[in-house]
Amino acid sequence: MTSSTNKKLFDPVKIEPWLYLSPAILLYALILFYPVIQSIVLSFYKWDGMSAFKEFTGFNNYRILFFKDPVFWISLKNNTIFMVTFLLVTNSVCLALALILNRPFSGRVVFRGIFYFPYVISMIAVALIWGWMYHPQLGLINELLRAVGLESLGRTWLGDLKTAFASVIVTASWKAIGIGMVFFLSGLQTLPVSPYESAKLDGANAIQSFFYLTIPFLRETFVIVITLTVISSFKVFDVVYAMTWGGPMRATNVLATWMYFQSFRNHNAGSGTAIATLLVIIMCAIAIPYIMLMSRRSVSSQ
Amino acid sequence: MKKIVGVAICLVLLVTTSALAGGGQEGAAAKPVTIMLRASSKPGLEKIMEDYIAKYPERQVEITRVPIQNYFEQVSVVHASGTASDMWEYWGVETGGYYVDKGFTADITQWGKDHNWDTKFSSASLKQFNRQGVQYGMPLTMHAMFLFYQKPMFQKYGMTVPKTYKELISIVDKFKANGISPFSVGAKDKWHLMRITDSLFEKYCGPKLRDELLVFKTTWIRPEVINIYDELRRWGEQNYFNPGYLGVLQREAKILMYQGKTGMILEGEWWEKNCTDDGQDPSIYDFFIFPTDWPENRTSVFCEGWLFNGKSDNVPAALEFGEFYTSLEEQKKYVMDLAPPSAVLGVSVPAEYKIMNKVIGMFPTLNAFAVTDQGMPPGLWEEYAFVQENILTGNMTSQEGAEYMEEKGKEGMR
Repeated sequence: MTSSTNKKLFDPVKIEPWLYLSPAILLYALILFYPVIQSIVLSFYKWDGMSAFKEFTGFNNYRILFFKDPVFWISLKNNTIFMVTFLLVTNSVCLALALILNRPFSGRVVFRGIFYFPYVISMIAVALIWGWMYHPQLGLINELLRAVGLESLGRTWLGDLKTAFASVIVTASWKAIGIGMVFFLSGLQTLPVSPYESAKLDGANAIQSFFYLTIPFLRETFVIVITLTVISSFKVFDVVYAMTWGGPMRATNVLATWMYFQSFRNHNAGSGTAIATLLVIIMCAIAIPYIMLMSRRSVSSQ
Repeated sequence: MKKIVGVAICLVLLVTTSALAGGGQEGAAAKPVTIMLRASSKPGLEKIMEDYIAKYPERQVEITRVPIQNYFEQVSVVHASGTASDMWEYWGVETGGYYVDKGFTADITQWGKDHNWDTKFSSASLKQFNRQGVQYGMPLTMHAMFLFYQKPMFQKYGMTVPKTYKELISIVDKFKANGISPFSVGAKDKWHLMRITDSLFEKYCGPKLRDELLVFKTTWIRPEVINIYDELRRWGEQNYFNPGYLGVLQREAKILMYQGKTGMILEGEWWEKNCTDDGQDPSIYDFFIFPTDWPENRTSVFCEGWLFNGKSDNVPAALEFGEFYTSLEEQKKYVMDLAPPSAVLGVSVPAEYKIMNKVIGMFPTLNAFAVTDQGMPPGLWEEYAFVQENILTGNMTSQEGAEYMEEKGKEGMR
């Protein structure tokens, strides 16, 4: 080999950044990549999560999940409902709040603080508070309904199959509205003024400006909010665990809680890791194409 | 080039230093006894530890407390990762038996014989930590379940303590007639509803059959089980429980009892201390065993104990501490800080705890059965809880419930 070839193989300019990055990469590999790979490998075993012995069973855990485990499908359905509700309803409320609180009026900072406040409370505390509010006899909600003569609308909110999951979603939405509002607010504050002035001169009304200017300008914000919504909808755990423990009758389970119960309560770590693997695949299958599509649209529009 | 060599040397030094930092403990003092238990449990442990170290200054004890919500998970994780403590607080029967079967516990049968455990602990509590002749746990506490009621309420409605199941149902009907929910249940805590289901199993099956069903030694598809589920459904349809019980926790259900909105609650003898801690008057309460119409008239019982890590080389030291902890002197000294009643014979509680003293007096002759969430193999009790909910909501027929349990028993969840 010539010295010029040697130089190409060992170019200090190219290697140096990697050397500086290597501690972080090593740490990342140890605490993220290795457990993820190990988790995927474990999903092909029958294992109680404790014993030294693991039995290789191939795709059996996945087969059981798809064909013999009704709770898996209930959990997947619940995650999907969570995602759709958050995408369509919660984010719409966040956007509406952001639009209102972007207007200049006295006290808007206070209102921004009030709507953001639930986000800073821990989810466990939120779940406990709302759990009490949902209490069938002592809770605020049924008490208020009684007070206004609507006692017939009172429910066993967290104990009734028809209302339990919806009650959990309401609680989670209440907490999440603040952060969505903040994202949209920051997006709204970067909007250029001149297109709106031009549109106004051309006779566009507020609704037309919103759909033809605001929404397209907020594309980048939508990418962030929708991606985060999808990810958080599928990894939701704490609000379900704290409010219903997956009940009644396992009907409010989501993939993360079922994964937890299978792994740690039912001593079925193989099934738990299979659920974890599927969870990652589902999230990537939804989020990655969306981000790529939005990125391509963003580049082409530039 | 010099920069690259410099960075590489720094990296090597960093890695080497980190690898060496963890060691260097050879030749240090005797290994401390490590203990894991629930965060809320036995505040007297630290006091006993201080007495132990005062008596044996060369010995050390390290305590790790884990939140109750994560306790089962933490125990399985530490064993899976090989970082389990020398001894840990746990329950017996099938719950603790699971760890015996997996080889995680030490066989302390000989230690028990050498230290006269048959005269030190109640036989019922020793049995809970004995698996096929192998003693694997040191009992600490023993708890029994009873139906608690308010004496003034019974007097007001002319009720007397029922001796038969029929008499219990007539009391239930009286409560209902007076607008009071007969039973306070927080079914969101599945084990709270489980106690009612367990009592019905005991009533309709009797001791022998119930114990066989618990460990799936016999078929679940049988008339007795169908009758149990029919009766459980009837309880739900006839509004024997507080409204909305499926969405209520046990700690919320007890408030209804305090408020006089419910007539009875199936709780352990700790009900008295709960009342005191919650600012209620425990003297207005009394209790009776759920009448099952069998001569034994068993009630459900569970024990807590120390289990010892079979993979640890420090078990003898851990057992020494365990013996000190369960000595009569220490148990009496800190009795109310150790979640009484103690499994150690001869330990009474202060006279003001009338209910607890009454229960302790009953222990020598009390006939007991294991609660399902400890007596059934892990994972299978979750199915038992699932079926009881489905029966009450009408999502399963009694036949379907029995068939479901039969199928799950065959599959096994281990």
